[in-house]
Amino acid sequence: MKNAVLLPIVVVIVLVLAVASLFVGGFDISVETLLNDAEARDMFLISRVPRTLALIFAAMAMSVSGVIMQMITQNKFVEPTTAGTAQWAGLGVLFALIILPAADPMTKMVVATGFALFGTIIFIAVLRRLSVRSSLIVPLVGIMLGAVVSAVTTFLAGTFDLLQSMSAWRSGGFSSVVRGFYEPLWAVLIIAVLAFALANRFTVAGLGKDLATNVGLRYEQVVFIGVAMVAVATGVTTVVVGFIPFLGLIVPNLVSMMLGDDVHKNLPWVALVGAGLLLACDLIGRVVVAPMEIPASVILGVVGAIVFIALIVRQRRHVSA
Amino acid sequence: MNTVRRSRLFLAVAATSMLVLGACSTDTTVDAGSGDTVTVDTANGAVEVPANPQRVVALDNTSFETLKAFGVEPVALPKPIMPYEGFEEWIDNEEILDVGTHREPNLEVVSEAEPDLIIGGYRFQEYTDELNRIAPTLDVSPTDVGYIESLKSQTSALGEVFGKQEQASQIIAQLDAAADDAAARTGGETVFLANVSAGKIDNGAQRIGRLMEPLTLTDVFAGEAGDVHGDSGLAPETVAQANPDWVIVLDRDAAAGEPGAAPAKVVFDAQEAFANTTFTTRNQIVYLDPYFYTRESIQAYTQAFESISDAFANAG
Repeated sequence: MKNAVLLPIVVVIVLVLAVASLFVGGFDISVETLLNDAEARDMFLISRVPRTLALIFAAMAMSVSGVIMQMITQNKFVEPTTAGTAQWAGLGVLFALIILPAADPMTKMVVATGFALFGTIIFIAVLRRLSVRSSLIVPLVGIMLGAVVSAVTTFLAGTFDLLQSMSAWRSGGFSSVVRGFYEPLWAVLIIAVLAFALANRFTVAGLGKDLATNVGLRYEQVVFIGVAMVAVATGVTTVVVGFIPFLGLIVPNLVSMMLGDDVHKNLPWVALVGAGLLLACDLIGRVVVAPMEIPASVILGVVGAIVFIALIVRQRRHVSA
Repeated sequence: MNTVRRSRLFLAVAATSMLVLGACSTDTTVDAGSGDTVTVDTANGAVEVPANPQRVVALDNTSFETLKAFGVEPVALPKPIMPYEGFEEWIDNEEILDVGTHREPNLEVVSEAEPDLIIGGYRFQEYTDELNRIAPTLDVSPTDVGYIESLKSQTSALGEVFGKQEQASQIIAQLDAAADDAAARTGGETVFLANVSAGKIDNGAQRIGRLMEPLTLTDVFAGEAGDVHGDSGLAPETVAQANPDWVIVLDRDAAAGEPGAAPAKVVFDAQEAFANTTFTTRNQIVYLDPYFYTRESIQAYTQAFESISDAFANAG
């Protein structure tokens, strides 16, 4: 009942944010110039539309990945990045910079996405060799693998004078997103649709291996598919816009706190709230130091930390009351 | 306790006097002037250093090219942060010790090199005190404000230390000529100082704004958030809106690439948002030397001014 009112409100808020994202920026674009000025129209298509789409797609990728990860690991504090996928993508970007410095951005993305996939397959292989697959071990293994890859990346970057490049790339901003740079993010849409189709299976998987197997779920298969989907979504996002912290953590938690753990019911909400949150963070970053920008990930770090603490405090109060 | 201390003191005195005697005995055979000292003005006040030192540890990258021109071969270097091109002999020479990067320098290697003089400062500024305990340390690196002028005083100071005053004034004269030439060619045009890093185009004013010191150009983002927020983000459409006449590009990605590769050029060429800007339609983009970022020497700036004045001379 409550959802029937809430959903349209959230949809409207996200739509308003998306429109604002289309009309805020360094180039003079208004409804009027959009109609009369060919140059403004070009820039709208070159810069604004891709950026807004990239924000929505990246937000969906990170938050939907968060849901899947949290279901298959049965751990509320697991994030897509804790699988080491983002760190592997980082190594891929560096590898491309060293081996193919003159390659166009698209080639670099392909290389880095390949690394992200490879890294996730290693993650799965390691997980499969572990006899203890408790909810604490899974993220810990991912974090450990990611840390090792990060260390290798930092060492290589230092050796090749690319530490500055690495930090610029890692800062996770949407300022450089223009037509020709964000297209791989469309892959995320496929992931989102697939996630929706498999949502019920993830819900069952979230009940644990024994229970899931008892009700006839091919548990291992679902886990593998889920992790692979997360790998692709996170890998592509990381390459195109850098690391986006917190989104995969706070959005699924926020939604499941309100609506429970039914993935099928939650996914549209997760995608919506994630998109709204990232759009808002990016808008703040675009406005406060114009004409320069503060990366959305930095704003998200601040907003995310506050929301996260609020969530924990709220939950504790409910429990104790 | 006391006796131990006393005997240690005695040992130290004995060792020192032996070293001094040893140094004196070699003095006569090596160089006539090597017993003298030179007083140099540095970032930390006047410092007395040995004249014409034989064993030099060079840490400040801005001094490498001048040392090379003077024929001084350092005994230890921070090899990982050196521009590869032009310094292959030093980097590949295993007798020259590797100090590592400024982030985590191996000061034991510096000590092991037994330097007479350490040329520190700049990226190694925070280690000056520690370095001074190893050997007299000279910080004559260029300063953030008045960079171009301080490149000159650095060069003449190094000239004094190594007895190459004439060569130093030649290097300085070359910079002056190139800067004057570039200044004469520029006449109030607007410019965007770009920093291309990891395929992203950003505001590079913090890093190469010093180039503007002698030139008559206007940075399109100067005075706004641009002075503070280098490297945090700049959308291509914002550059297009500012529509600068010229762009000067620092290519950080190229430092690791093959010689001649210019990743920054690929990034700029792929930018649809720049299609209608003045700098694109008139092809007014100056790409700095790929190693500019790791050089930052008086020679690098001389070259930069030369390429800027060439570009302006060739422009319509």
